[in-house]
Amino acid sequence: MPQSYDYDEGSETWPFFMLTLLLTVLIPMTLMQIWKLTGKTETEDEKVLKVNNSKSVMNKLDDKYTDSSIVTFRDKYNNSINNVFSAKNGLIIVGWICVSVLIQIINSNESIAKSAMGTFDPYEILGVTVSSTEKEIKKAYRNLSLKFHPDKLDRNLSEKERLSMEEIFVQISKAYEALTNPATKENYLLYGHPDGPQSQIHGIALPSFLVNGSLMAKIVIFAYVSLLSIGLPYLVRNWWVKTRSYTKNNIHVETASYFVDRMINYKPSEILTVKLIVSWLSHSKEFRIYYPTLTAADFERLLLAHINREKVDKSERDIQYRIVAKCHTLINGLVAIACGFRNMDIASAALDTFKCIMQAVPDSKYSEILQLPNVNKDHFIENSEDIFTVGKLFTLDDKKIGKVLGISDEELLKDTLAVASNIPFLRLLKAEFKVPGEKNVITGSIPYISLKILVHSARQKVISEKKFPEKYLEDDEDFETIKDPYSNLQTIPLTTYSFSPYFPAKRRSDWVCLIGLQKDNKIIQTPVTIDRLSFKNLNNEFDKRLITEINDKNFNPEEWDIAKINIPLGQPAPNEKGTAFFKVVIKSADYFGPDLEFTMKMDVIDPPPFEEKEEIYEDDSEDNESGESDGEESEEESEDDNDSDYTDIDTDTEDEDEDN
Amino acid sequence: MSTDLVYNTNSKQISLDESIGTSDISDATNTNIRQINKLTTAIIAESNPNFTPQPSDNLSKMIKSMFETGIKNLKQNKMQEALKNISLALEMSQRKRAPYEAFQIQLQDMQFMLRQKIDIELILGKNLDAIQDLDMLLNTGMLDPELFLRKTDAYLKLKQYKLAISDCERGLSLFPANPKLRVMLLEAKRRFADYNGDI
Repeated sequence: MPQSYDYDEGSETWPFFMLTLLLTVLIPMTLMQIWKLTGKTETEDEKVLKVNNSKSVMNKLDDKYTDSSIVTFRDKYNNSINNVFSAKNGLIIVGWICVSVLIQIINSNESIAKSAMGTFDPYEILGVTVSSTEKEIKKAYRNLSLKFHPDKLDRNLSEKERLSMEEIFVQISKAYEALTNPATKENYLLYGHPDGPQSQIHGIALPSFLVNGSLMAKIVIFAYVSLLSIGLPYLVRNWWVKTRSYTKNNIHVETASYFVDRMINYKPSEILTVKLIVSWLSHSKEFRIYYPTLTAADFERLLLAHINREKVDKSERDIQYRIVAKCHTLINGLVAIACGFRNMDIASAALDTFKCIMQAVPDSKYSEILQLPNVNKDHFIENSEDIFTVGKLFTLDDKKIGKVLGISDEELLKDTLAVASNIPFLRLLKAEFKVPGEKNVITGSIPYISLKILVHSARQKVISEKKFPEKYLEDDEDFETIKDPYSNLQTIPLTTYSFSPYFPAKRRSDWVCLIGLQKDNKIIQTPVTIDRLSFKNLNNEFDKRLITEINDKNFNPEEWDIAKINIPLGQPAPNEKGTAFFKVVIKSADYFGPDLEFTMKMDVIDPPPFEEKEEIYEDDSEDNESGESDGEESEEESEDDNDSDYTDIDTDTEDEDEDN
Repeated sequence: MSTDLVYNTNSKQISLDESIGTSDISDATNTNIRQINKLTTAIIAESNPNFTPQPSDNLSKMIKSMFETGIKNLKQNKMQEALKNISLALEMSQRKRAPYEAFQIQLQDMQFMLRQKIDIELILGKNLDAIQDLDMLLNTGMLDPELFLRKTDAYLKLKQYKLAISDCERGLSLFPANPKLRVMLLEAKRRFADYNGDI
C-alpha cells in the first residue's frame, strides 16, 4: 500500500522515540552495574582466595620479586580489562545525560504541549473524573452551560471573546453528549472523538531535516550505501579471514603447519632438548606478525636470553616480554599436535620447555632449586652436596638451607623458604579405571580415569595412602556422578597464581595430563589440562623435620583435602579380556619438581554370562507388551527395544502355540 | 636447493662445494650425500650387476672373528680391549656392509653384538653410552626384560631416578611377572624417595 508519511516537522515525536530507545538500553545496563557494585556475586578470584589462603603468600612474593619493567608490561595488558569497565560506566553516564537533555527538549517544546492540548477529553472539559456518576456529570454540565451559554453571556463582551466562549460551550455540550448519549459515547470510545472517525494522518518519528534537507539527505544516502557496499563486506571479510587463520588451539595455521612439518620430519635419533623446542617456537608466525622486521634467529636469541636470565637491550625488552608471554599458547598448540602424532617424547619435552620459560631457568639437574628466588647460583652448584630437590632441601634446618643456597640475609631466606614450601606437589593416593555404574571394566565399555591426589608441600612429611581411612578415597556413587563423572570438577576452586617473577604475564598454575600406552610408549589422546585444585593443604604445618612418626595425635585426615579428579579416556576398553597398561604423565606447567608419572593397569573382564541377559530381555518384552504405548526415550532403552524385537517374535509364536 | 655439488672423478664420490657456508646446508642434504656415496662405494666393490640381498660371506666372517676376539678378551677380563673390539666389529658391520644386504640379517647381527657391548659398557661404568645403545635396541623393536633391567640400572647409577622408575614400570607392564624388575622397581622407588628427602 503506497503511503506517504509526514516527517516530524516540529520535533514533536522523535525526542520520545529516542528517549524510549535510550531507556530500554540504559535501564537494564544501569541495574546490572548497580547490582554488580552492591552485589553478592563473588568472582572466581574471591572464591579461590576463600579456599586457599596461601594465595596471598605466593602473590605477594611474586609482586615483590617481579622486575618493575615486567610490572609495567603486565599493567599495559591488564588495563585493557579495567578500561572496559570504566568505558561501560562512561557509556551509562553519557546515556543518562542524553536522557535528561531529551526530557529538557520535550518539556521546553511548545508544539508538543500544544498537540497535547489538542486532544479531546470530555472528562477534563466537564471537570469530572472518570468514576463520576451520571448525576454528577449532569450537574457539572448544567453549571458550566449556565456560565458559557451564548444566551447568558455578558453583552459587553467583545466579538472575539464571545466567539471563544461559544467555542467553549460547543466543546462542553460535545463532551456532555459524549458521556451521556450512547451513540456518541461509542464513537468516542472507538475513535477518540464524539463525531466518529476523524481523518487519519500517518507520520513517522524521524525528523524531517534528515530527508528533506537536500544536503542532509545526500549524506544519509551516502552513509547507507558506503556502509552496505564497503563497511559490511569489509568487516565480514576481515572477521572471516581472521577466524580462518587460527586453529582451534588458537595458534596461527602457518605455525601449526610448521609444527606438523617438524613432527613429520622428526628423527627419533635426534635428542630433544629445550634448545630444539625453542628453535621450533621461534619460527612461529605469531612472532612475525608482531614484529615483521625480526627473524627467527632473533626470536630464538631473545627466548634463550630469557631462559638464561641474561640482560637484553632495553629496546628489545618489550619484544622479549611479548614473545615470551605468547609462548604459552604456542606450547599448548605444539603439545596438542604432538599428541595428535602420538609422540610422548616431544609432548613432554615441550612441557619441560615451558617450565624453563615460566621460571627462566635452564633445564638441568639443579633447576628445581634454582627456580627459587634469591638462590646464589654459583655458590649453590659448588656446595649442593647431593641436594637437587626442594624436598631434600627441607630435610636440613633453616640455617643450613641458607648456607647451602648462599643466602645470608634472613629476610630473603624467609621469602625463599616461603616460596619453596608453597610450591604445590602432587602425591598420588589412588588411581583406577572406572566405568560409570559398573564395578569392573567390561570389554568394549567406556571407562574414565579416577584419580585421588593429595596436594602437599615439599616441607610436609609424606603421608602414605594407607593413613587415610577408606571412605576418604571413595567416590560418591549417586546418580548424578554416574550420569556425568566430570561434574564434580566444577566444585573444585581454580588454582592460584603461580610464583613466576620472570614471566611477563600472570598465570594460574596448572597441570597437563598426557595419557599413553605402555605397550608402545605412545600417546592415545589429546592432553587434558587440570586447572582446578585446592591448595588448602599447603597451609598445614606438618614439618618433616619435626614429625618423626605419623600418629593419631598429629595427623587428622579431616584436615587434609583430597582432590578427586576424573579424566575422560579417549577410547573404549579393548574388546578382548585381558590386562592393558597405561602410562599417565601429569606435568606441572609452572614449577620444576611436582610432576607425576605412573602406570595404570586396566583389567578388562568379559560381561556377565549371556543367560542372565536373556532373562532381562524377557522381562523387557513383557514390559513392552503390557505398556507399549509408553514413550521410551532414553538411548539404552531404545537399544533394548531392538533386541526385544526377537523376543517379540518368540512371544508371538508362544501366543500362537497357546492359541493352538 | 642450489646444485653446488662437486664430483670427484678419482674416488667417484660427490661432495658439496666448500665455498658455501656449512650453516646453509640442511642435515637432510648432508645425510643424502652420505647415503649416495655409500651406495656408490658398495656398487664399485660389487661385481655382479644384478646384485642380490645375499649378505657377503667374506665380510660376515671378518666381523664374526673380530667379535669373537672381543669375547675372548672378555673372558680374560680385559674389558677395555673387549669393548674396543666389539665396537670395531659393530662399526665394520655398519660401514662395510652394502645397504642392500638383507635387513633381517643385518639387524639381527647388530642387535646381538650390541647386547654384548652394552654389558661391557655397564661393567666399565659407561652408563650414558649404555643408555644410548639401549635406546637404540629398544627402538629397533627389541623388547626384552633384561634390556629394561639394564636401562633402569644405568639410570639409577646416573641418579636419574624418575627416568629409572619410568623405564622400570614400562618393563614391568610388558613383562608383569618378572621378579627382577619388581625388585628393581622397589629399589628405584626407595632411592627416588631418598632423593626427594621423603624418607
